[in-house]
Amino acid sequence: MLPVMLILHSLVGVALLGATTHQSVSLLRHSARKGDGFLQRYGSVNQASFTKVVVALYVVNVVLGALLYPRYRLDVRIPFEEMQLGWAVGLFELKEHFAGLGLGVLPLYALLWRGTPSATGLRLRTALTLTVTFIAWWAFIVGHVLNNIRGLT
Amino acid sequence: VIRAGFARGVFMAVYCVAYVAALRLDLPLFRYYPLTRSFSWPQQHLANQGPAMVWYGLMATAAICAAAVASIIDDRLLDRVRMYLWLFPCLAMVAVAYLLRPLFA
Repeated sequence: MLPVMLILHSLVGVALLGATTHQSVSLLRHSARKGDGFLQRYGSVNQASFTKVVVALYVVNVVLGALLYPRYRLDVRIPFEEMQLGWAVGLFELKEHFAGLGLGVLPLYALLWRGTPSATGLRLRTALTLTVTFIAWWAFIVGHVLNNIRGLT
Repeated sequence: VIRAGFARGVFMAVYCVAYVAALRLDLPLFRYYPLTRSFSWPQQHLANQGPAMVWYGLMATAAICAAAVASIIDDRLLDRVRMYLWLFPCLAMVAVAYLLRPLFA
């Protein structure tokens, strides 16, 4: 069961990365010239359509991470501490806390993608979207680095 | 953009502040001991139960504080600082990194 959950956690992370990155790139390229090239078409999607998917994937991934966390605490973190890999423990702590903080961002993020916001709302929406994207990337990269050092068995 | 009702801007701001405060002051709503699958209250450190986990409790503390404040305070109070609301999660992440710096020493 554990390997299945770990793989699922990783796959949901990949999907979340894809969704948040696509939304962010599209948001930042909003004023770019339209065309038929890959980048133009990549950036010309309906950005708002990603919102519900991002929220759902984020919550599912945090739940999966929360279910896996006790095994990490017992089977991975203790060996990290014995190997004096404090930086690895620290990276994971940052990953979990960033992910936890991201949960508090989601309600406002979802609201700002509903309808057409004011200029202030647009800037806030862009900043929060980039924040969620940063958290998704951080969690994914740190998770893989730590799994390469010592994965759950 | 930010309408009346459940104040999501307030929720985010209070959630971030409460999360960092709970981490700094060691005030998770509860602790979980994965070795024995048992729980304890925040100030109660169970002996011989193995390592304690506070992450779930920190999120619970932050969510309860944020939900309580967001249900009684309107987002209009944040009108003047609305464009800076994004700083709350970003500064909270910086604060968490600062609190965890001994792990990287």
